[in-house]
Amino acid sequence: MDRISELPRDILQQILNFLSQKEAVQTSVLSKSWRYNWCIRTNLDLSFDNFRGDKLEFLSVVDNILRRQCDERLSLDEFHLSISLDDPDLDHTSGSYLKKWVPLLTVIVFGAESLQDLHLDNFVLDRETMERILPWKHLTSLRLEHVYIEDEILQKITLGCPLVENLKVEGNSWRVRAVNLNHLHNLKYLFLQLYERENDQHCSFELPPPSLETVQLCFSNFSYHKGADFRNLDSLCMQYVRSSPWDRFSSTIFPCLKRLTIYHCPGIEKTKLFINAPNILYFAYHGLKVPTISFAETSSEWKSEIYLDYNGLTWFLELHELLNSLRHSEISLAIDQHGRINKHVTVGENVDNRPIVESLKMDSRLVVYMFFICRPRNIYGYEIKSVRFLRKFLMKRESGNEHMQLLFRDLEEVSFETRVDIREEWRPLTLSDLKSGLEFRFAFKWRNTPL
Amino acid sequence: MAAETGTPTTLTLKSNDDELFSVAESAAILSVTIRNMVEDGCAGGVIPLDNVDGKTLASVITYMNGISAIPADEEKKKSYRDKFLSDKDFETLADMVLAANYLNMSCLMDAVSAKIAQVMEKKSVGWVRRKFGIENDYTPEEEAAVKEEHKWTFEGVETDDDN
Repeated sequence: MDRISELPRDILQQILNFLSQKEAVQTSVLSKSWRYNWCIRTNLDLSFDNFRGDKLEFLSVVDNILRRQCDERLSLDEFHLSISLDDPDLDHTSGSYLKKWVPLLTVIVFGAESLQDLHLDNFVLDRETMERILPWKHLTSLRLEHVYIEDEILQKITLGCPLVENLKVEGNSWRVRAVNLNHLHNLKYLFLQLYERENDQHCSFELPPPSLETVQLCFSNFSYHKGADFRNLDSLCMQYVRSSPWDRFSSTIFPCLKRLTIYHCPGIEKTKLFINAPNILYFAYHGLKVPTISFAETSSEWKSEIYLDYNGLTWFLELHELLNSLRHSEISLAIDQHGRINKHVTVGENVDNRPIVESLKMDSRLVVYMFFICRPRNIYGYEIKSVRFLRKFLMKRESGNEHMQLLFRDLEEVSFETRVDIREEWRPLTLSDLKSGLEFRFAFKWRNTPL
Repeated sequence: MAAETGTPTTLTLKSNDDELFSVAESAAILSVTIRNMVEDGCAGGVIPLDNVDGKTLASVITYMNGISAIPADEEKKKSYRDKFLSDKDFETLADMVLAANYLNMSCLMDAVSAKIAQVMEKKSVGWVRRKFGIENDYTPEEEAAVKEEHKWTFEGVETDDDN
């Protein structure tokens, strides 16, 4: 016999594991001794995307493999199964196969005591199956995506996998209540996006702080006990988080926090937020209103990005304060402004101390008022009307009244530039070449400012 | 007796065709089989490796020395392994994977298995048979039946290029 066919079973298994499912199955044609070799693979990849035949054939191939796997109790290291339900003629058939497969998968995958990593997408385990297969004592990563889940079951699942480090739950919930994650002492990465389908209410999660490194909350509320220790938290992103304990947040220290994103969290602008994150590198805020946020002293250079969609009537004053809070960071500011300024704006005493704004995006005539509260390095725009307006305003700066002269006292140089796409360098543009569709910017050089 | 402090301990390995090899203990214990013998105190004299011939053992020791000289850097280790295996023919690879299995060296076994799988990848059944000298003992009818059973894997084009 030839040498490869004579190799011991565990070496053949290794070699077959390195092949794709398709190539491994093909080896059955090599010779009689190879007929069933592919079955000893310990990584099964049953993805419809990697399958060349039609869907009916795929379903029956998978059905055979699952049944054999189940009957012979073969052990597995990896298992992938994916099927798309986008073929109206076959969705019913696929659905009935899936139903038949749940008990088989329970034996092969879900019920495996050594299960470490489980990722379910668009696949719902019923309560009965769940209760039978839990706990997952060795599970370290659990991702449930596009699921429709009862929070009671979610609580049971999290209680059943005490070693989990990576938890992602994304989908709809039914009957919102609080889920407590306090017992997950190893949890490092947490992504939660779970909202109630009917009431648009959010599920609330009690966080287990010390082990957490990355937290992303979307449409979910959170809470934690007083004095919670977030010593490992590196990144926190909150999107559409409602009614969370902002007071508690303000009195919490985040010693390692480097990235903080607050994205459309309703109600946050009603509170005075203090952020105690001395090592912050990046802060982003997106919202309809200007928040009141202040920062504890920071130890390194950091960046802030502010996106405001609509600012209410007092936005200008609030923005003034916010820019002052952020003055030690490299500020990017984008304002989609449809409001107005209902106050007579004058030059304040601190005209020489206006914060530098690295990047300002604002397509509105109100952009000229920004010079009262900051010194922009670059103003970006697309709308010809507002560009012409701003240009005219800047032309008048030397002949204008004393306010104008004060505002631009420190201005060394201003240039008007364009580029065709983002890979190109900016080049000077004359007003006569200005046409719609071009990206352009005003670049300002201010005296006595660090580069 | 234990070696003097500061002197690296050297082990003597003996192949099944009676060749003797000296190798630093720190490199040799990449083999769990050898490590167990050292820990059990059986490594005093000559360690006989009854399932490995001299030519293969020389090659395995080259690997042991090479890989243990690289500090903990998976990238560099991987590129050393790739280079080490790049010019080996299948006969040598088969000897090495058997030796790695016997010596219980998972990193070498993985690397050689991956290399053999790489040779089979994207090749037709006929090409793999020729390359590895596998005798087709199916009757044409039997072969057709097996192909039919797994016909999804035979749709599309195969490469027969000898590379």
